[in-house]
Amino acid sequence: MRLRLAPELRGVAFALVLLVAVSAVAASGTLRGSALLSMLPFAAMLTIAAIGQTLVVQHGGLDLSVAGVISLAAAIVTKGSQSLAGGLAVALLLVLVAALAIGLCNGLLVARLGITPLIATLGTNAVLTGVVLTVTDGVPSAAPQALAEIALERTVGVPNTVIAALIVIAVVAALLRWSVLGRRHVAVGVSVPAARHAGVRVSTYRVAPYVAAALCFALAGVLIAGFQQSPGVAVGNDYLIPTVAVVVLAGTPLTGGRASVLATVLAALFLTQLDQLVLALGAPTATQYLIQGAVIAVGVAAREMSFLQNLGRRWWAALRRAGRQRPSTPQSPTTTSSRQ
Amino acid sequence: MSHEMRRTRPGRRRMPLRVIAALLTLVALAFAAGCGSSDGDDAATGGAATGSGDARTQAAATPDGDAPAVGSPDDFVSIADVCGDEPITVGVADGYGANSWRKISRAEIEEEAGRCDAIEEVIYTDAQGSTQKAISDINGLVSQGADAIVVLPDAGPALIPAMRAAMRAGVKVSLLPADIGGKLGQDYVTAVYDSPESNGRTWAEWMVKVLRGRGDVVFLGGTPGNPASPLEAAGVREVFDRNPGMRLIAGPVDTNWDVAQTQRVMAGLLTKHPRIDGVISDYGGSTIGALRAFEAAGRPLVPIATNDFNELGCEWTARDGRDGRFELATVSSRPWLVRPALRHAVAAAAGKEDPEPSVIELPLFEDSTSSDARLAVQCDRALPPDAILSSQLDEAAMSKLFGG
Repeated sequence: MRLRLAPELRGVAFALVLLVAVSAVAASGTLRGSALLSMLPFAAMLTIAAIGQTLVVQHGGLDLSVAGVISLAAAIVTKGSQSLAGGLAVALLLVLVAALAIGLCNGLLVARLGITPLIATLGTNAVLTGVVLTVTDGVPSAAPQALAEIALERTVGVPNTVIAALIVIAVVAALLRWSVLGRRHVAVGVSVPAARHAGVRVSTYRVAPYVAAALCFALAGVLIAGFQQSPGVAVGNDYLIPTVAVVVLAGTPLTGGRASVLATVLAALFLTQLDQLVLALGAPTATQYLIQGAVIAVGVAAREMSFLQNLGRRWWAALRRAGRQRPSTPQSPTTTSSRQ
Repeated sequence: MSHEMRRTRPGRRRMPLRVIAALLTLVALAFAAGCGSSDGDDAATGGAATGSGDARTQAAATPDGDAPAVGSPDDFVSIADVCGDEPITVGVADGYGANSWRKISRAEIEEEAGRCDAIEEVIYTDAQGSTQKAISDINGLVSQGADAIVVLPDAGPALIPAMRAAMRAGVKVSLLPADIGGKLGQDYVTAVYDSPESNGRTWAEWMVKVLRGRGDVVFLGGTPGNPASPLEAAGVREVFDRNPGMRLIAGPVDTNWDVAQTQRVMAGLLTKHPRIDGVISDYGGSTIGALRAFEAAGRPLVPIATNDFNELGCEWTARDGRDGRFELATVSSRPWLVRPALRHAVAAAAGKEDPEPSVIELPLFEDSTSSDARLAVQCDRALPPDAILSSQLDEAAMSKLFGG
């Protein structure tokens, strides 16, 4: 049987398989059931946030408000559950409203006012950080018991955070692949003028990813709050760079265009397992960062393999030309003959 | 030759652009992955997430000159003994005010100041994590006429020039809960802090007792490069060296004093070491992550020695008397350290001698193995999870502080 993988999945799938193989040799303990069960929730929460980021990057954008939205969602769901009359349910509703508002704000800033996504979302993030400090007074609150249980418990052996991630993956992947909505989203991401000529209401489709992303971030924030039980006021900051790293590792070009939700999932798994492997090896922090940085660099470089091959061929050709210019240079006849 | 160069140029001109672009991506990513994946935002981790952890990053060596007096909280004096007759203004320069430890500290210093009639006013400033604002806060307090300033130096040695200028202007400066390497007498009158080595010894001695002299222990430290964790680890080793059955098998392991990171780090340690009999951690708040890792790995909980933190006490209480309970010992997270710091500054401003120690050796605050009721593990669910119950504020003051 021949395994057929979509081309955009090959790079990251290869990297993940390689990482698992290295894990098996270097620290087989990280592949034991219990170790995987403690790794998976982290991967699940990163996946949910990274899927949001993927949707924005597909349109050539970048959502830096991911840190602020996660922190805010965590703050509202912890503080709100304690101080609001309706408890957890009202707090969750408030998170939903806040996420929609933030996403809409980001989207309108980018699509309508034409502000560079980097700047617009950075600004939103700063505002959100202020809001979080105002809401919490700088003091973290405990997550309601019900939420903590949901986030920490398992259903039929599967951590609930993973189930939440699977639902998000399924919904987003299905929408992108089979719905008109998703197809238009992709079309706008590939080329705005082409989509406009095809009759797509481009402006709406340029705002929507930011709203969807904010919803993903907010869901991640709620789960993180439950998982950590008393999340710090800057809990989202830990997700800012990793979400972008995941998107890039997944092979989504930062200039926008096609992306694969499944590749994002694999990349999130890769990054989390890499973290866990390096920690299990017991390397000092400096070495951990060096290894993580190097592996991601290699991972991305591997995707550029064809480019590297190209480069090698050119350099080889240039070298040979230089060689021909200087006939005095001794040349092995076998090399020349095999090359010609 | 020149012809050859010109000929190859067009091809080359396109190449460097792509090469540079690719290299830049790689470098940026390498950098991003290094900084981002687990360490997050330094300032925020130091300030918000770690609670009292931030200021302990600077527990540096003792200042030049005479060694500071070492003692226990029993040696403290009353502020009435050092309070002068001339009216004075006190400034409090906080580097980062937005967590429960700082809120409690502020309430403690205001309560302490209230007991000295000479103190007319306490001016509080919050630098909100900004080094620049921290410096201008100290300058501002001097120009507002403060006679004594208590500094919580989150910004580290960058504050020394401002403190020196204040001292030159005749203002008495004291710091806590760490020394930042300035010169005693020139940059400040006293640096008040708890001895990290002593904390390490206290935790280790308890661990020896509870493990009956035999066991493998890990030590969870803070941010990479913080000076406190290695000193604490040295204290732990000192005790373990005297007890051949005890081994420190890892540590200080960096956790960034962060719950989520501690959970990951502990999961890694559990994978690496099939046997871990005890955990020593220098921040109670992040130690909850270690509990989670044990539970996620399906391993029984082990004795934990750390410093006090409301949520940790509540985690202990929730498991007390059930399967999966664990032994817990803590030293105080000492938010009351502002009180001796204030007394030292006030005494200096009044031209009096403060006989109190400035380096404090903390005794155990909680000990779940002890039958002494004063060492019972504490939990108050009405207070925030990061509240510090070893505060010297009474219950009424605490619940008022947190709006209860």
